[in-house]
Amino acid sequence: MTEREIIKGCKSKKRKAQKMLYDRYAPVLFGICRRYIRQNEDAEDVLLETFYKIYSNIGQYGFKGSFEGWMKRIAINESLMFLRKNKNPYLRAELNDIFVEGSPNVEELLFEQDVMKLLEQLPVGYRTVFNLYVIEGYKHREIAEQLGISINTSKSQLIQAKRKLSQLIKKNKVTRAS
Amino acid sequence: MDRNLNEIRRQARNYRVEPNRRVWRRLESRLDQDKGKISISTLAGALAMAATFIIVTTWMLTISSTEQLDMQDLKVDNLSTASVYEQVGNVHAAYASQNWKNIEEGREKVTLISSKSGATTLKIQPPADSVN
Repeated sequence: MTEREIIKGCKSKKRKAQKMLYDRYAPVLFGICRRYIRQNEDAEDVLLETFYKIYSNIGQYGFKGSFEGWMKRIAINESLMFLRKNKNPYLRAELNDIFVEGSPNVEELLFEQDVMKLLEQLPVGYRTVFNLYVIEGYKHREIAEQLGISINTSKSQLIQAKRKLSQLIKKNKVTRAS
Repeated sequence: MDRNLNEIRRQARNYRVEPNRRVWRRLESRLDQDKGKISISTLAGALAMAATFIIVTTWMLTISSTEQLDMQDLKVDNLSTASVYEQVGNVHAAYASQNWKNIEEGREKVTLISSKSGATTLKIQPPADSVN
């Protein structure tokens, strides 16, 4: 069954097509949810909501642009909505308006590392901004709008995220050496 | 650095995690619940359609009986075809004889004057704003 056929089947609410879509894209979309949400059960809830929204709104998809991209955006939005809805205390506490000057060149260090394992160790606020800026390619203005924070806060969060990552990488190297 | 950044993005974007099977089971049960909701809405729709049908039928019956009443009224007038043609002719003549400009259909005040001998004449008054 081609992607187009699956989409048409989902538009007709055919369970077989819905299952095929789920089987094909659940690992990718769950990967996105897990990048934003550390708790497995919470990420599962968000994945469920993501697919429910995909099935409910698939009629609006007019075969223009990437279907996978469209679904990924839903997964990202649902993850952010979860973080906002739960008013994560860590997210609030970390998203304080402190501007930190100087950004470590963490990209060089991250290259040889398992990015996902390191991201999992980041506090939720840092991780969210890092994900949105570095991985998804959002601009600080867009991040500020999505999270309801100022642009400067977004910038400072990114710097702090990079700083934390470089610390974690150094720590990992020390552990490996010993 | 761009190369590194791209590699980080690639790694993160290709990150795949197989979710537990319970997620699909939960999703499926939610979709089933929605199906139940759809059947309720279908039933409501059918009821609404039946109600509309009854209202429209009643309305059409009412209209039809009104039309019959109008026809009866015309019969009471007992106008002959010749009389009707005559009156229509009078209307045309009256319009043709008027010298005001831009006669607007329906805005003129038309008065039908019947004489004792049975002859009918029409008096047409233009709308107040059309008179020059």
